[in-house]
Amino acid sequence: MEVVLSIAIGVLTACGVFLILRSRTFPALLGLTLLSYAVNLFLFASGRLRIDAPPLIRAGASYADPLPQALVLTAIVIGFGMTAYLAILALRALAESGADHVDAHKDP
Amino acid sequence: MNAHAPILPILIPMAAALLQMASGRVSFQRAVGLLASALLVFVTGWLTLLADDGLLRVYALGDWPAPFGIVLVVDRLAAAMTLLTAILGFLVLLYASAGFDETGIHFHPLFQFQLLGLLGAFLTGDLFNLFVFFEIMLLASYVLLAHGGGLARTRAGISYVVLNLVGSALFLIALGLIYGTLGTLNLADVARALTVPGHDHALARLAFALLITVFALKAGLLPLSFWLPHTYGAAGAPVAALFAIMTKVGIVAILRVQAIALEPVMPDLLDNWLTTLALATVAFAALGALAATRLQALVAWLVLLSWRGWSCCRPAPCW
Repeated sequence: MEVVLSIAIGVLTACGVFLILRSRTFPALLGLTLLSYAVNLFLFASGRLRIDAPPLIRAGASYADPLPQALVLTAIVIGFGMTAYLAILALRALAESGADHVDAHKDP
Repeated sequence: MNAHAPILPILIPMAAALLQMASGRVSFQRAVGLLASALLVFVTGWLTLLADDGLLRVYALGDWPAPFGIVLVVDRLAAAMTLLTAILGFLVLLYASAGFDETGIHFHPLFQFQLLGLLGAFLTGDLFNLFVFFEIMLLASYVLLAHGGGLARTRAGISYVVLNLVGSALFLIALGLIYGTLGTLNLADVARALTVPGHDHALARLAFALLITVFALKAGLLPLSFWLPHTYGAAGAPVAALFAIMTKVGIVAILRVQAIALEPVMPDLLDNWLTTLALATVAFAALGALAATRLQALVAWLVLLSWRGWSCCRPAPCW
């Protein structure tokens, strides 16, 4: 399970970084989304991976660490808000300059 | 009452922003904003007087005990920075009320939210809470930067938002590493966990290096400072004035992490290069200021010169 999760995080990060380095706002936006998925998975894994263990502490029962789950929830909400704002900003730049280049200038 | 003083600088802007959002009338928003900012100056002044005895005041939110709940920590530095922020915020709001606030919508609530994020980032004693206050401050600053419209601001806004979103991703990776290796995110508890043998210090070291990188990005330390004059030069004057204190949040965060967590355990992580980079930033900013052709660009470059304070107040052990 650890190997699968590591590969997933690595692939998401690599694709995200590649897309962020593109010169158009839409791929950059997608790249940031992929990067935030990778980061959320990474944060989730920081509490160690467990199967069939609820994030509740009871006597004798096995449990998963609840704190990273709370952290991931916060990070997801913040990431959604930021991505939505960036999408609106990119649309406004498209309307004002007529191009979706990150520097908001026309294509040569 | 004195016991609850640390939470007031966070509650006042939040209440003011919610009140302002309930009514769309600019005259009402101005009155509430100015009243709240004036109140904030008094409250942070009182907090500074309280903190002058040199004791650490710890405020446990919801009265949860320290390593499990979130704490606010007031020392002299935090109190002085909140007072500075409040005074700056009041003066900037007074200027913006002369007409800048009417060039777009929602200026006043966003201004209060930015103050909330700034004050919270100075006061918190928990690393994840620091992240949350950073994001509140940044989200408000993204919208304030675009306030007033125009292609130059939108263009500066896109690169600013993308850069800071990448910074936030690095921040979260650092927090995940710290939690994964040390099992805590409370700054004082992190310092205690670092002294316990058996933790994976190599990974923790990597996490702190990432954390310092993120703070350096916000504060505009040299290899990460190219966005700053560009962005601050494009923002409206009142917004840029408030942004000037945002770089200080990064510097204070570096100071705090270094003094509390790094100095006792890994003092070699920063001392070898931070002073050098700070001096290089000052030289770079001076050159940029000399080459600036507009007053606002000149002021934006001069914001970077605040790193001079670092090279003065920190000894340089490598030289």
